[in-house]
Amino acid sequence: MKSARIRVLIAVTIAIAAIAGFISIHGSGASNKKDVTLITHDSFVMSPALVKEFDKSTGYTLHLLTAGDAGSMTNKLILTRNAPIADAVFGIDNTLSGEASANHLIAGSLTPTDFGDVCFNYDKLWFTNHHLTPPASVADLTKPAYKSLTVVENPATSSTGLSFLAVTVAKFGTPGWSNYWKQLKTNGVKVDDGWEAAYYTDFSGSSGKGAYPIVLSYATSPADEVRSNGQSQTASILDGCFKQTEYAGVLQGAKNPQGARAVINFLLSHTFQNTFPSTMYMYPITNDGAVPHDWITYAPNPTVTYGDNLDFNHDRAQWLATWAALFG
Amino acid sequence: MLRGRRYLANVMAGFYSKLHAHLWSLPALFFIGLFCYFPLARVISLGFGHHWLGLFWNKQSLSISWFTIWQAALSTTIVLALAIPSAYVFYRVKFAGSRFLSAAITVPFVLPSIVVAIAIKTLWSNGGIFAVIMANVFMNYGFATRVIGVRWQATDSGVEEAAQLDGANGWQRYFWISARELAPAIKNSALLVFLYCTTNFGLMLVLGGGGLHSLETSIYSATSQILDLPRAAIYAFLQCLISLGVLMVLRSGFGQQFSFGYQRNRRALSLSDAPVTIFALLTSLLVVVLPIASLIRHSILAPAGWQLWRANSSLSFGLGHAAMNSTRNAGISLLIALVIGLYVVNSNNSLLLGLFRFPSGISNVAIGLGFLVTFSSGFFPLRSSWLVTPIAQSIVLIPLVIQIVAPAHNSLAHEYSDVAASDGLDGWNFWWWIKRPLLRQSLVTAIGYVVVVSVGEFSAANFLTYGDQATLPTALYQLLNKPGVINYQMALAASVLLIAFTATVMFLVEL
Repeated sequence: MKSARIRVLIAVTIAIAAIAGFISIHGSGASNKKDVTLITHDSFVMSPALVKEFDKSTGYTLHLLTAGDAGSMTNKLILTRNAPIADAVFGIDNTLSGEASANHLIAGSLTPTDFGDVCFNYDKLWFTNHHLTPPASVADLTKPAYKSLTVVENPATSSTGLSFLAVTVAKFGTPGWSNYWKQLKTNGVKVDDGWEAAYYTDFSGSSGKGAYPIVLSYATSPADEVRSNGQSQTASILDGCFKQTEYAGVLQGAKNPQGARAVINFLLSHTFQNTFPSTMYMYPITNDGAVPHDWITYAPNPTVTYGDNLDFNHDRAQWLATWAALFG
Repeated sequence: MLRGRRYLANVMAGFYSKLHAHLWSLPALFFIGLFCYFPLARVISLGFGHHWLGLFWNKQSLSISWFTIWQAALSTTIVLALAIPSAYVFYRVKFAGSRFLSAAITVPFVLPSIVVAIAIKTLWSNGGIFAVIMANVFMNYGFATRVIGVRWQATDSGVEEAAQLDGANGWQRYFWISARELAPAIKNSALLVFLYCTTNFGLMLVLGGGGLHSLETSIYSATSQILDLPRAAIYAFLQCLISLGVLMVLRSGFGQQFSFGYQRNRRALSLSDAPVTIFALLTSLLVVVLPIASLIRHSILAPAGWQLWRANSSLSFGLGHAAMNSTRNAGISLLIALVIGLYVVNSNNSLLLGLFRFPSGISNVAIGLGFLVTFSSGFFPLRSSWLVTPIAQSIVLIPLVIQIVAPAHNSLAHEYSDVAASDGLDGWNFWWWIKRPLLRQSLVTAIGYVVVVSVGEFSAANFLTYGDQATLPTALYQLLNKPGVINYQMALAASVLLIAFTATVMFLVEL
């Protein structure tokens, strides 16, 4: 029994599908030359007004794409580097920059845009209410008095998490740092995938009113938690911080490299640099960016920072494997 | 010598005639080879680098495999314990609404896993192993009930009457009397439920809360978090081993699970059936209705979430955009799955049938990873095209079409092919004028299932959709991971809509 016509029909359908597939694969480059896409981590903030200002001043149309925390974003960029999903990237930091350049993600070099200190914050109100002395150093977090009080970010997915992992490596050495994490685990530390979830959902001192009074965040975060009495509800643990610098860059293979360049210039502009402190709690990289007066009162600089001299690109995988074996 | 040559000539002649028969199968073979076996082979070869033994045989891989197996085995046991009495009630006893109920309890089986996870999360906000097992039971209870129930309906009702004479506890006696006939259906449903519970990626990802790791979630985290592709590949290989093992034991009986229940062989509700009927109704209430009711209640309590059309700053695109993507993907994968699936069924070629059925047991996560490592660059950079998602999904949808249409098709083939041959109809006309109308019901079912499964597919899509290509399930997962009450509320509302959509399609198909 021959069913020639159905076979012809199938062959034609497959041929059409194949042609359509090829057109959509190879024709996608022909999209509007005026479109430019900036991929960022979840904590990036750019107000619609600023997007409009960029579009108006440059003639491009800016699309923002958030892709998880900085670590996941970098991994996504590596997995898709042969056909990049954006033109420019913001939010690769000094823990990930080696990874980015080893994988040739960036055309040219990374441009620093802002910096800050990754520190633990604690909820002062909670500690007062519970008649407990807040921890003074990251070494205190393994003490039984602070059992099940701390939430941190996963170093595999979050750059703040990786920053703290680096602090422990630099402060406690090898194999001391993995013992420290073992003790943290026994002491009931909670691990979230990203800073947003840890800070806004699990931390008791933020708007989320979560269950954990100690969170891995930034030295500047307490300036954002000032209550009506003029006091900040939170403070930082100043011993055990990490100096973090964030970068932007044009992606290798970007469809619109000129547009990407324009985006980076805009991120470095006076207008945008001024928004870093208020929206992302980071210090502007340019000297003329204004730093809020609050920060002097509520966000003192850390006393001891660790880990900025480590070779992240060389050791990151090994640290993460050791860490994953503890928490996997 | 001469004999040898003649033998060779015969073999070659046989080979050429076979080749000719297979020639038309080449596009289909090419499709499944390129989009299923080649990517899987790429993944597995990736795992067998110089460190493979260390990756394969270490504490972490073993404990992840063990966890994947035991949570599935425990869920399967619970599902069977609940499904066997329910099968009796929903398929052998007639009472008001029994037909509606037997259709309703199968809806969870085709719900998007991410929606199931969200619904269960409204009951256990912290997730954990109980939530995962509850979700497994929720999804598979109705499915197992149907597989066993349909078989039960086909058993001899004379036996039933004999059992009925004995009065109370009739259903248990009846179960033991028909146990021999039910055994294959129970075995098949157990194996399939076990397989589905080992590939519950979306449930484990959301409800595991980062603390529970199955092979599938480990494939994902090894890829997206630590970018250790060899490790991901070894996990994918282990996952394939489990699927292969189950499929080898399963062998026969594939496809029966979607066959339609004959509505004969039901008897009126009698007093002796009251306890088991109450048990089955309570079970379906607790297992199926409770999570959905809880989801609906939470979504109503949060009316702000219903403003789904609003642009969401956390998503960088609206849910409407994701819904459009999902609809487009469902259309393409439906086209591919129907054309190729029906061709394979019609060809009745056991090689094709085998090659196309196998992917139904394979983890979509493994297929997603396979596409990612195979089509990201090189000769066929499909990954950058939106077509990548519907094509990857069609790999698991083709076996679905085959499973639904093949039993009906095969029962027709014998009855009508002689008639058709004597009437001089060629293959195409035979198919269109004779088979198609007779297969109408199973075609409608296949279309319904394909659309619903494609829209809800999360495992492969999560690997392959980036940026504005997000589908509804991947967008919902992103919403769940963003802080802010409004995101969670939007996810609740969208989940309710997806349940309504799935239930509507299933009822259109079934009733």
